[in-house]
Amino acid sequence: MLKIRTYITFCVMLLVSIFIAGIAIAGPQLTKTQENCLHAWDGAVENLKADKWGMLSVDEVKSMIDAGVPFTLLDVRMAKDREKDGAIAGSIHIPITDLSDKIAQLPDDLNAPIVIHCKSGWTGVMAMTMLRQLGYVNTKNMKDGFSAWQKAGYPIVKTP
Amino acid sequence: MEKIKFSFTNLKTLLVFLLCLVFMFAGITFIFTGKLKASVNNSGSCLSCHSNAGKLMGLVKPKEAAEAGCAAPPAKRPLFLDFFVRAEFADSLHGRVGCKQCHGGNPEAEDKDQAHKDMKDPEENCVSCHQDIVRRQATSIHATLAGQDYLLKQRTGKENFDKLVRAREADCKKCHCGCGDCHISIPKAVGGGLLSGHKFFKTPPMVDTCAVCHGTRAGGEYTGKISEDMEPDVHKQAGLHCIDCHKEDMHGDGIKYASRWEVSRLPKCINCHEGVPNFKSPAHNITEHKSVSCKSCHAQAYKNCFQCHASFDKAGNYHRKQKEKAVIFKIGKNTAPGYIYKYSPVRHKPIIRDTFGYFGKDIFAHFDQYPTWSTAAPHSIKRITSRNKSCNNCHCNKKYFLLKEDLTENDSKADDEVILEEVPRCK
Repeated sequence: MLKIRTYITFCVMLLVSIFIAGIAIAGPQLTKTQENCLHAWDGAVENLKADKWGMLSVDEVKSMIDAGVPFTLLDVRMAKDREKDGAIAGSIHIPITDLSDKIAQLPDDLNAPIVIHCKSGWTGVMAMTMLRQLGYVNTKNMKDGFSAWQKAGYPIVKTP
Repeated sequence: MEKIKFSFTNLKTLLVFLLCLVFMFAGITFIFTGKLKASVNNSGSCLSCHSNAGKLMGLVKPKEAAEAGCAAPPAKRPLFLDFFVRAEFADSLHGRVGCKQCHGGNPEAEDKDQAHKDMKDPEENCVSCHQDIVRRQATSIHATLAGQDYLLKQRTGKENFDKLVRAREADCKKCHCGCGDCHISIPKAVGGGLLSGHKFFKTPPMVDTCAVCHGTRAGGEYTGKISEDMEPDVHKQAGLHCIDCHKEDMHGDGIKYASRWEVSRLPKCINCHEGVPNFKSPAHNITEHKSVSCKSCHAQAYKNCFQCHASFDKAGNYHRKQKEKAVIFKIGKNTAPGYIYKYSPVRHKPIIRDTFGYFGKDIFAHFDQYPTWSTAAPHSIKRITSRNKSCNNCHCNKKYFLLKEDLTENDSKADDEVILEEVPRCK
């Protein structure tokens, strides 16, 4: 027969173990802000997935330009890349590093179509995701970036 | 008489009153002008959606790509472009007619379904201004697709032709070509959609219209896309559009032809190339060559299709599949009526005895009365080809000639009239 003290010690250890296990299973406790952020992220991923991940090929972007569609073509490359390789006529230039500071240059209308391009497509994805999170629901990224535009032989203009 | 005294108070009141009148007048004018413009255009709220790219992107849902069959779908583009109308279209010659005049519907409605109620075929209005062209086009082969029916009816006979109604509606008639299919939209045969913001093209963009319906053969050959080791037609490289050669037969001449070979004023090489054949070239001075068509030497290989079968699946979807395709070149005896040359390239028709076996037994009751190899018009012209580099590249090279051994049990007995008895002897 166990002594009372041993019995109590055993129960306390059991309770502590259950408590520790519970934390391990439940994971870290999220703040409200973190929960909201994750929820918004899930929504953004679902929207992107339904929209073919927001990707447009260079041919599709070219067809929009040819059809006279009014949209913002946003070049998020660094300045040296734009100066060296040229640009697509009509594009506005906000390097990815300056995007959060220069959001005001983008249209006020959150439904306005925006097509982002970078050099190879990767930075453009980040910029697109950011703008979609800000509410620009019709933001797209040009697949494979400016490199693909060059490869397709589409017109390029020299930047001042 | 007491003089009226203009005091400052009265003047101030008068000025306020006049200002109010001015603003009221300006407001009425603004509203009235807006309504007048809207009523003149009859566009109302149509363009508030159709010129709003952001709105269209959200509204237009992806659709299943239509089975293209023998057509070649145009280059990929965002789906919303099918419905996008440039804002400046409203001020264009056709735009000033107004959306409702051609399309019907309710431009003033705010709701999409209400706005699209009572729509009509816009091509009914083309005749208002383009009477002559519409009249001629109505009997052209582009509109009637008579050539397809002609070729089918030869082989089915009258007794079996009507058994192919479903197939013709689901397949052949898809390529029926109205005004919009060339001048405004991508052909309906591959899904339709506005070409470029509702712009009207006097000369349709070749790659997005002509080379769509005529995609797998003429269009693919002309652009050099049917094979990796082929070059585009030399006329394409020179910047020629389809209508630069086919200018006479695009809208038709008001006569209802049964087949393209009967159309008057078909393109001929000598229409542009005066003084050909060039008799300074020894090859053109050989007597036997005078019965050989230009394309026999100056065309690259072209697409041939074999053993096509048509059917409907359980869900009612139509399917047409070729068992085999080959990019080859065969010279045979001419089959086109009225053609001046005895020998020309011949192309294999995709048909087989039971192409339409799904629709009944022996649909092609007269299969053996008409050849499965017939005169071709390859759109793969090149001055120097694998055949004319030297005499013996062609002569004694049986791969370039349709011979008995090239025929299979799937070919028609009438092909005996097309094959050559022997390969031209070596030089």
